[in-house]
Amino acid sequence: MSTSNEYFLNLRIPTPEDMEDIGGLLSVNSTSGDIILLDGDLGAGKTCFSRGFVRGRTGLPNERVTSPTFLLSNTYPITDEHDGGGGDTTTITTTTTTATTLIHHMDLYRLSGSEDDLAPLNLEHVFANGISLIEWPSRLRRKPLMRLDITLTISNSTIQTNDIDGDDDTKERFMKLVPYGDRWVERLKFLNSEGYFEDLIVDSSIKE
Amino acid sequence: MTNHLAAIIRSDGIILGESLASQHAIHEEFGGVVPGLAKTAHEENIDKVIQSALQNANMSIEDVDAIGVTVGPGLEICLRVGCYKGRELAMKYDKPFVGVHHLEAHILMARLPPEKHDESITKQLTGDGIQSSYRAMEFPFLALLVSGGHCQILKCLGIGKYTIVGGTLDDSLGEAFDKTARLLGLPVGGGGGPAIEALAKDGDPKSVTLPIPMQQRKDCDFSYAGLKTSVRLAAERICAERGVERPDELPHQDKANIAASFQHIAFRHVEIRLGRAMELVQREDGIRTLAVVGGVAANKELRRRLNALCSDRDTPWEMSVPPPRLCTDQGAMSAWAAVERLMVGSSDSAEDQEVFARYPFSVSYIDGS
Repeated sequence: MSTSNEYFLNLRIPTPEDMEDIGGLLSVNSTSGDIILLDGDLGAGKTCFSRGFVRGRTGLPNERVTSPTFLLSNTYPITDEHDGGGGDTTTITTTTTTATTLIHHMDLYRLSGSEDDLAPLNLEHVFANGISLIEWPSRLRRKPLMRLDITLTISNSTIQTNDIDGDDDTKERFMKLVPYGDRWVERLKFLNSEGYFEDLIVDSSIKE
Repeated sequence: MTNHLAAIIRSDGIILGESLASQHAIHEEFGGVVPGLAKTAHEENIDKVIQSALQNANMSIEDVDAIGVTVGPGLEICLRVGCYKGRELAMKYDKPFVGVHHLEAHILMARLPPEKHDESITKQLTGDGIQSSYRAMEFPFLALLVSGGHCQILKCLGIGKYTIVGGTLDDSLGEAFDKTARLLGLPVGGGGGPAIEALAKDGDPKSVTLPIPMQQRKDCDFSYAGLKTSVRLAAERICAERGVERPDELPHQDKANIAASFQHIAFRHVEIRLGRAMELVQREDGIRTLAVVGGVAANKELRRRLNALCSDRDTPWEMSVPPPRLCTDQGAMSAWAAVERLMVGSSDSAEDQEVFARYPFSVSYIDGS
């Protein structure tokens, strides 16, 4: 058992915009092999978080990030330009390679959880070569060792009235983040120490 | 969704034979747990599917004139099984090959000549009944594509020429139906959509007040995530009044009222967004025909209301909806799309065909030129 699960962060997420912001924040510098498992009830904000993550990481602020529930998997390409060395690149004489990584936004809700049912998703390949955002991870037979677990819950506080448009749920959400593996532990510690979670933090086991 | 179904369609739109699994296609795209998804990743299954379609058509593979197969968007593993089989057959038997775009296939079903009349009309038009170019609907037209996975309004200018007028920002219409069905504890094995449609008949659509989504955004996009939440909150309020724990424990009449009210607002949202799109394309392109395609097009109440939306306009619109059975029939869809592509001289190289998990219209063979 990894000791890293002794770390956790509990955040209070007042609005859907804040949920997207947190998604964007956690997307910074994410690379292939990164896995985030998103747990929580229907409407808890899993797709909202994913929207912020995808928009942040692709740099496309208006990218449509729609529900993967029926299609099971939606992918979003990101193209990072890697400076091939040579330090300060004011000219393009140095080799600049572009590598495309895919963000896989998946929802396992409609799957039974049998090994067979998961096969078409090619998870082993996806986990190793892409950035994975997985909704309803309880369907997974085995969870990857290195990952970030996020659990979203809808606050039980009084039901507030809807806004003018009437289609916003105004209850706040709670988000629990549990990192597995050094990479995620270090990233959460870093973001925490830089004060990114300041206004949102409820409690945490992470000491600086 | 990517299902492995096969069909053999003649160029005049007559379905000569289909794989047996086609009968169950509706379950797969319109609700419930995905049955037999695993099968689609296995190659032995696709041979059976093709064989059963050929048998039902009383044909052999040599008799087929061309082969079409869906190449995206979808799950790569499943697409690959179908695509490689299609490529293999096309090369082995030297048949023209068409790599079909799944969304185009959905749209083109609205042009399939109507089952009842096609033969006589066809013969009158062409004299030989086989090479007919008769279509239920001519380009250009506006299409509403509504299913579990898709929720879009498209301007359709010709084979391979589509412009997206509006789409969902979050959930699709079919998904909203499915999630409401689950909330109410309805049996979703046959699809959450049909369950809600049936229950809604017993309810009063004005009994539960729900907000129409995105009233302040005057465009043609959709949003159903908020409505999903509003339905849940409304159901919870009714639970509190009735003194029950969960929405699935509510009495029949309450559930029916929730279902009817949800369906009413979900379709009201369609009417508003679609009405705006109709206004736009009529003004800009002189379009006055509407195709309604995808799994949710099987909903009778939606058909009734969109029929009214079309006929109540100052200049009435025509509307075409594929028969419910064919709205989700992936085999017939792919085969018919291949016919349509070939009729305008468009095909692909079997040898080079790849599959596309993500397949926007803009980067496909479709370049709008």
